[in-house]
Amino acid sequence: MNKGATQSDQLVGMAGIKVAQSQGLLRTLLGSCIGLILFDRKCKLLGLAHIVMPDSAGRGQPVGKYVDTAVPETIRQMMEVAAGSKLRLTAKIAGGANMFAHLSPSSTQSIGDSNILAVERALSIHQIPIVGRDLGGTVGRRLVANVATGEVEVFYIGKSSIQL
Amino acid sequence: MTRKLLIVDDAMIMRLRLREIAIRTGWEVVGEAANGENAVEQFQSLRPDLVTMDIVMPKMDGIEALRAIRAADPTAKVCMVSAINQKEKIAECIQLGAIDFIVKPFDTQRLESFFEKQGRNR
Amino acid sequence: MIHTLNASQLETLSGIVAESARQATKSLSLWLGKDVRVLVDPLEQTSLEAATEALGAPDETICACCMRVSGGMQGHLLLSFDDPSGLAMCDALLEEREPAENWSELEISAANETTNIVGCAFLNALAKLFAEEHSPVGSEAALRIGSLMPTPPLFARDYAAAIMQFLLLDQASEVDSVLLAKTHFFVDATPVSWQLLLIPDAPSLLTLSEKLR
Repeated sequence: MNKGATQSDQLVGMAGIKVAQSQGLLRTLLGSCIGLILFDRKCKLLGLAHIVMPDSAGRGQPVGKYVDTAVPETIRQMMEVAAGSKLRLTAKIAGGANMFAHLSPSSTQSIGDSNILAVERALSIHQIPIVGRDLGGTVGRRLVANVATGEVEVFYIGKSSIQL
Repeated sequence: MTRKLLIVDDAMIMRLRLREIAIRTGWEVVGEAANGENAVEQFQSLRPDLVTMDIVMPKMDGIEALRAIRAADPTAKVCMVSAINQKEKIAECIQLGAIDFIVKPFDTQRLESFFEKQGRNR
Repeated sequence: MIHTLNASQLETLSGIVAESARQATKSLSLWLGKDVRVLVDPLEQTSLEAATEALGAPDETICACCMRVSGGMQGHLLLSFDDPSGLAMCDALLEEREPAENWSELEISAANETTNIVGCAFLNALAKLFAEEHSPVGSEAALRIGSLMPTPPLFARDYAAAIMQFLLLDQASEVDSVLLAKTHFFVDATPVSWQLLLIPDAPSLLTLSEKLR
């Protein structure tokens, strides 16, 4: 998997999870999906999950697709890289936009909201504080996470970026 | 006396094209609506001689607007102008009293001769 | 649940989609006053991640006009283009003014109406082909799906991946692979970066897999 800092700039695709340490950037593109960034400052360890749906309902694969499987799996991968060091994780979350709001059937309209609630619940269970969030709206996001610092910059088309 | 036309289409570019052809063939465009709901309101207040009606529109579609207009005035003349070209939908519109069904994209001459013919039918 | 189509079903459906796209370009040619041709790749069942790149590189800025389809088959239908080819399309429709450099209300209206015309023509052909007892693409296609109605198109200018995520959500909720065909458009024999995508939702995929023998 993506352990250490061998690749400095990696793109995380839909339902993907990547973990990197020390340096480099992890990037992802978010529409209705949620980007979850977990970070440990001491180990300079950062994990990014691109989550699509709130609940796996028993379907285990792909683990990065669902909140209930992606959150523990990201933590597991980070612990594996940390190799015994105790992690003090913080979380940043972004995404959940609805670009064509009027076209959504009622079921998909609520998926963004359900994703947000499910991520918050999962992080609360794992006692991980959320230190930054940029959620909802009607436009897509390009998210760039700095592995060394945990800084996350969110870009939009046609307006200035923000720091999470 | 110039005959009065109400143009109903959610696309500004389509309203511009219809307006241009209608004026060229001697019609007075008394109103334009971009959805079915507004079309019904404008029909009630303007009482035009003819309505061109799109189908796929926000708020209320053209078939519902046709139904409402014909209920308000059973003699109302409504011509559907839509990109939908499916048997069931055309049959439904004719059954509801539409006088014609012109498929988009239309041939300009087809629309001109329609407007000219309707202009003569007093 | 069975949501995957076998090779023979994919071939049948590919034929229907390609023929419908060809019919749609006839309407597009008449609407734009230009010779429009389309080549349609065979339908593919692809991973969610690969599907997000159907409209371009994930962080590429694209424009898309999207309609929701209801009736016998449900899902989304979309026409996408980059700025230059989209604005060139508007210029062809709005001849009597300076070439457009930005997306104003009039250009967006022209793009949406173009999508309405090409999308409806595509759905008209699709509904007709599905309904034919002896379809030109084989008797397997003789399944009645009734009429297919779109919503008015909505315009967005955003990251390609972000737009695709929205479109794939209906299928992604139930399946891990999605069904799509890429299109290649030519206007007066010159390739343009337009893309017409039909993305049926998961229940419609199930119906297709059951009925397309």
